[in-house]
Amino acid sequence: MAQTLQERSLIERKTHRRPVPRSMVMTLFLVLLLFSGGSAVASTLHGEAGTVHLKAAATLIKGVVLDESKQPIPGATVAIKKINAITTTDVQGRFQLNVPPGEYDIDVTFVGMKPVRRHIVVGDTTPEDIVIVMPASASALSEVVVVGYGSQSKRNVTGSVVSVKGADLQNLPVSNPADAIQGRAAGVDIVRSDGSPGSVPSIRIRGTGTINNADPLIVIDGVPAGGLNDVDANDIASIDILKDASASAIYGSRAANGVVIITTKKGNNNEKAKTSVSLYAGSNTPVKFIKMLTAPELDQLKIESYTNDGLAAPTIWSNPYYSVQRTDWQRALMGTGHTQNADLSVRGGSAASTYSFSGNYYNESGFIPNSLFTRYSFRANSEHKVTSRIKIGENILYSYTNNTAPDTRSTQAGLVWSAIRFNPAIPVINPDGSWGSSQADNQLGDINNPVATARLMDAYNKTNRLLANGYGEIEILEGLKVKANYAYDNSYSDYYNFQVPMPDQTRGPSIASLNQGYGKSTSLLEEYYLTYNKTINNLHDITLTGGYSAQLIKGNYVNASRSGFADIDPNQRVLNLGSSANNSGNNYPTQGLQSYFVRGNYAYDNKYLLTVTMRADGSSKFAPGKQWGYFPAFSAGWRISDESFYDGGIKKIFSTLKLTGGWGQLGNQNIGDFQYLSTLGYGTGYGYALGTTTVLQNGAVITGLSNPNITWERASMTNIALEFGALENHLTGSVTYFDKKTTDMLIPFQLVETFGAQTNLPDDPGNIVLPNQNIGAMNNHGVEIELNYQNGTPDIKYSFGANASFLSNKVTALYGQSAYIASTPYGRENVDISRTYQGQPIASFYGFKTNGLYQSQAEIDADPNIKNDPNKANIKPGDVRFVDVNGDGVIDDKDRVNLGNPNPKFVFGFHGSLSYKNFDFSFNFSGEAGFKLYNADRLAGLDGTQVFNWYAEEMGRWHGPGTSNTIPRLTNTNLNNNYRSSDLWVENGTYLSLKSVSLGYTFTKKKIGDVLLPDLRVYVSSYNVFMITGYKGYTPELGYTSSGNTPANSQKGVDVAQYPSARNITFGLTANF
Amino acid sequence: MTTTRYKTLIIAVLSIVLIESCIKKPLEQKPTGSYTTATFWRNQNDVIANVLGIYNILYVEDWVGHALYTYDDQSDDIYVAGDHPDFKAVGNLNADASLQVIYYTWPFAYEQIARANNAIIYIPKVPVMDNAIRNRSLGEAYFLRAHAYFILSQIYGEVPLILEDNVLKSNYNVPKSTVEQVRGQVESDLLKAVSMLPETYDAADKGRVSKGTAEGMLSKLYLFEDNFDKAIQYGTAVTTDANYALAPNFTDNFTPGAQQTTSSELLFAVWNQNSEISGSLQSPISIYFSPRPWQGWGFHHPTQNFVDEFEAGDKRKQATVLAVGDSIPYQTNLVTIAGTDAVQMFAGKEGQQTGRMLPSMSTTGYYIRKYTAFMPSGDGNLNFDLKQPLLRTAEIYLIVAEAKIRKNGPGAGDAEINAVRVRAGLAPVVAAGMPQLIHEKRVELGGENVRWQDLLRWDKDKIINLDTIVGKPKKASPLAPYNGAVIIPARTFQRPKNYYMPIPQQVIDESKGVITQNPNY
Repeated sequence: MAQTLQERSLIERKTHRRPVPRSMVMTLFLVLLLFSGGSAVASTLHGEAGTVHLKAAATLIKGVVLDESKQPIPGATVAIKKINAITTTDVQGRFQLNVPPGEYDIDVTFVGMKPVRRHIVVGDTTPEDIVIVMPASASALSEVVVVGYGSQSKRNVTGSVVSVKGADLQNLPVSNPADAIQGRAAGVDIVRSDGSPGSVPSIRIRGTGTINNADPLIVIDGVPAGGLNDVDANDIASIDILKDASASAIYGSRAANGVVIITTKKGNNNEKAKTSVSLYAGSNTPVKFIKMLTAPELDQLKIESYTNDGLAAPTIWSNPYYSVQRTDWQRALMGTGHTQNADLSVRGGSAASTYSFSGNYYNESGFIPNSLFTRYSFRANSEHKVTSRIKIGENILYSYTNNTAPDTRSTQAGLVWSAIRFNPAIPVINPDGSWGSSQADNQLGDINNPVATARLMDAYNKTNRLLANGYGEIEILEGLKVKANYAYDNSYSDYYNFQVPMPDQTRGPSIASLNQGYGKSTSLLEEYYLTYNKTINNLHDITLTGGYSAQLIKGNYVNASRSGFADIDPNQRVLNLGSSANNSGNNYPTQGLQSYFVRGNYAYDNKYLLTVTMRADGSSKFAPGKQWGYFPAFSAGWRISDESFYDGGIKKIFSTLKLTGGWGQLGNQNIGDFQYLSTLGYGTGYGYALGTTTVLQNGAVITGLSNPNITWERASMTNIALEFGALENHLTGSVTYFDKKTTDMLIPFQLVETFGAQTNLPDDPGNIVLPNQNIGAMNNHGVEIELNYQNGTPDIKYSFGANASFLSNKVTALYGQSAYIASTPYGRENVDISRTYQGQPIASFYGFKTNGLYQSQAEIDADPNIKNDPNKANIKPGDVRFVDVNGDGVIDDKDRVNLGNPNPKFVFGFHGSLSYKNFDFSFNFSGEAGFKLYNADRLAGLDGTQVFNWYAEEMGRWHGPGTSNTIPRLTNTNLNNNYRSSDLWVENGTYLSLKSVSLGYTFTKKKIGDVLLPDLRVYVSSYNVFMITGYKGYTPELGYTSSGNTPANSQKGVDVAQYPSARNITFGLTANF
Repeated sequence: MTTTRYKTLIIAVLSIVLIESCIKKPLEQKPTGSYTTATFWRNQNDVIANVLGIYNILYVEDWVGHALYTYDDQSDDIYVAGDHPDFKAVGNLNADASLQVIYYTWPFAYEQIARANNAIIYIPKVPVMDNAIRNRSLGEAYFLRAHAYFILSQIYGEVPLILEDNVLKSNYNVPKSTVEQVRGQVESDLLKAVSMLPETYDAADKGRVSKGTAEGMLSKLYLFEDNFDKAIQYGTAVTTDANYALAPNFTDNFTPGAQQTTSSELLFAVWNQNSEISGSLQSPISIYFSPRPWQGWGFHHPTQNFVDEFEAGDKRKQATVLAVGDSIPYQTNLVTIAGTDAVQMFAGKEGQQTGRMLPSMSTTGYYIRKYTAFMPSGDGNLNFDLKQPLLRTAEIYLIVAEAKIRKNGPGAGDAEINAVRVRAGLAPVVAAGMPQLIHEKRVELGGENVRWQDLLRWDKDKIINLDTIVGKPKKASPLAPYNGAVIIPARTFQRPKNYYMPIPQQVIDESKGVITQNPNY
């Protein structure tokens, strides 16, 4: 089925070149929309006609369902059996029902809560709000999920959605919510690439869906917006992650990699202002240091390496100065950082309005000097009922962030990389006050003092962001609502980097320079949609949603630089004091999106559930005629436990049981703009100097090739899930099988290099951006298991959750010019260690297999691997025995094979919380297993041809038969190329980490005299507490390391001495007034 | 609900529908601030910018700007220092297809070719422009394409030929052409350039390639092909043209200012310009060739073997080699003499500061000084205004001399050799044969990335035997603290393997086997 549809849509795309069919299809959609709206109106009218006498006398009763702590309970079922009226509460816990005058029993039920019955008398006048407080039963589960353009009772959801409650994210010392949800949701892998303050991890939902940008769509309060760093975790009410096509389809144009919906806290109706204050502060420190050689050890081994080659060691190694240990460079660079956070919120509401205000200050300074992330954010939202049928509201977020981080990726200037390698005999600061330097001798390497670099850094990257939306909702008829939503997202960034001259450092720079810029990015969004909800005969529950959305994203980036500052006084570091000519540039990206969508939810007797979605998406990234993609999705569910036959023994074990399944397609267009056009760069950056003056003249260079055929990448997803509740719903859980096929995958052109300088050539002007082509296919499939257990007594409450996902990734087709997708090489090689081939997992490691070291000349002479190898005479005992995979007796490029998969096959987490009286305790573990890492830093740290300091492990190098079988002999000539990409540097990445732990005590409200003291909770918490792993580097959480023009996901799990993760310890308090 | 309220509702709904198209035509976006191939090449200015865009690639550090000089480290003249194991492997005659430096040459050469190809395709299509400029621009494009292919044929031997037709058909994955075919393309492009380029430029356009540049490059090409008649023909066209006369002083070729004014000898040079003034590019050759404490990276150190080649009284020695104790004008990066530096000539001056070259700066005791100049302002920074010579008239003299000697025997090239010798302050030679020419070329063009390609050429023609040259260890200065140490032990030259570099492994892998590896790699 999937395949047929897919082929048909492919054919459609290929044949529909003219714009006419597009408008036809759009018309069709409009008709569909009208039809859905029209039929809704018709049936409503019919319904009204049929019950006209009842309607005339009916009274609207309204109310709110709260839990014991006066928090609203969304999704509770409110029923009046006498007249067969039933409804569920909304996100605010509110409900309303039309009933004729009379006396009724209202039954309110909710999973995890004790059912409540309330007797009411309905007269002719509108009654007051009915406030129903539900006591908790054994377990309490959030039962409403936000699904995009609405929310839905979890009971009736047929797609795959996982929710994380805001309470689980509170007060963790992390700058963004993604860090906090690591290990908390099945099928959601949080990939941390960097431990620097303010770095946002990548979120991978059900594996890496594509070689290009595979980040999910982030929706904040209904606005597709991104920017997780701007959201204070303490403001979050819930995070709902839509994983499959059916759930995500409503955000189809950008939902191929899943959707993360963040809903922030709102006020409640009829609630007095509640004020809450939260403060915490703590420190962060490195978790681990790499053991390096001391100066005397290094001196000894350097001399050995030259002696092995029959050479006299360079004179520096006989200079006694360099055999005295002076500095542990890692500890000199990485000290202690600090984190502070303060939150204030006020929330409440009247009968007609709700409001919420909050402010946040977060400041994290990293353990490397001058790395920091600071945020001030303010959030306000409110909602008002103008009349009983008109509702308006808004969300406003303003944030200011400042983020600076040193370079920790480069293998020439990366700070951690430098600290590992800097000669340990050199002091951080010389006795005369100057910075220690490697300038004295080539043997010390072309490397700058990392402490000096960090301390002299003068940079900022400030962003002011306003994310605001306003909406209006009108209930035209009962059950038929139209909603309009307008959003404005403006980011204004301001960056500055003053490079202090470091003439006493090898890599300089010798002259000061200033690079400064401003960037503005604006997104406008408009959405209109109709929702029609109708329950017929108490059996057929229908919800239809249809709408239109358009989004326009424009940017304006300006930068300028100058060099040659005579005065580097901090007050004189302004552009116009630079002595060079001004060098400036600008950039105006622009993109637009347009969509039409329809969704229908149907439930029969609350047992048989069906969701159908269809959408049309247009993107300006593609050429006219290729802009539109059409994406269908459907899913169905069966609440088995609601069947009459479901009874007896099984019901005692599994109190609820639901089977769901679905299939759908989604689109991805997350690539660079205007790739269907061939662009030229024009300016002095592409120019040349002529004549006797020194004026650089404008040049013009083709900077981007075109692919006029570029169009949507598609993800087709199949999903089958079994959800259950057991042990009187103390235990809930689900098992899900999913299969995600990415087709027409957008992959950068892989032309052979005879084209020109297109890839991986940083710092040079020759880079050409090659357009993407729809030339690949990929498959991710696996199983997700989620289990949650809650129980307790009034004094002791506890809950545990565990989740696991088993995942398998494979590139199923690659039909470009090249047989594989290349990635970034490491160091001074041109062979990339990660490659993506058809039939293998994405970004697999690639290179030679090894089988120990040659221990003797006899072993070399007898080795069949090299029996015909012309290089045989150059191989010496202590060199690596590479495996002749193809059996031709020669070690050459044909012997390279897949060395391992960096994508975990198994991602898991478990978390728990326990409260006893006023004490509370919680923890969260996460882990990954079944994957490999490439320790490139260790390779370079043991490479005898590297002039830098070496890993302490080098003491265990081969220096005679039997001394080592893994660390080769020291040589400067390296005629066997012992340090080529091989399995010697591939390690197992499996780890288990205690991500967070927290212990708190709450002082309940007390009255002392006339003063009512607030609720006060004090706590201590730690993040990144410990990790169990066999990995030799800083951390196995290495993330993505591709750079230049290589696709974002083409390299993963390569250790380039990234900024290591910190261990945080914080103390805090929260007060509720 | 009252009728009025109902009406209000309907009005509200209608007004929402009416403002529906708040965002007008979201899909009709156009690129701002960047031209497309369809909107460029409108006029003369576009053509001039397009051609300067080809020259622009010469600045690239990993191409003409520096990396090509790494291949000359295979010769007996230079020892490669620094922290790049790939450079060292090349210097050790142990190049591997996976080395970065082997790879870099390829895409940047083809980038220069791609930019030239676009110019050759589009310039004739520009409707209205000065035809002299159109011709000149095409001539420059042909020359720069030939230049890149000539380098490729020297480094890798057989390479694929990508010409206009490949670009138009987007057909880039093609097999290698033979060395003869590649040289044939170079010849045909250079002949076109000779016919289209002007002989000279006015001051504002100095730095562009001229007719003489193309003639000089042709004579060099013909020498590589052992076509002595044509080498003499095109070489003589340069040496007899007063526009390309030798500079009065050898040092004018390597002195900022004099390079732009008194030196007519720079037929082709990377026209670097100072970043302190322009705010952008730097001169990578200066950084790579200058000592580390003097703001450079100190990668290439000349050997004692090379220094010994200079005759007594040769003015070029001082201009080519920087030895311990020497200084350079305006060099103000004073370095404190450490105890170890005092060993040789600063004994007793410990703690004193000096602007002179110290023993700790070099592995061999020497530096090439042709690419180091300092800012006259005395701010201690390298002067990136220094142009990087790529082809000098002096080389053409020696090309003509070699062609004449090899055609007509010893003595036939005396006039050309002596033109170069006399300027260096040396006595003329009589009846000079190949040994004398080889000597003269080594000292005249030392450090200018000419030696190793000459050695390969002469070895193939059995004029010399590379076994004996690379079989001799590279040594450091005989003075303390070097004491004549062996820096690079005797190496082995493997034929035909070491005539060419391996094709970069990445190129082979990406070509799906269409491009094959060079023999013996």
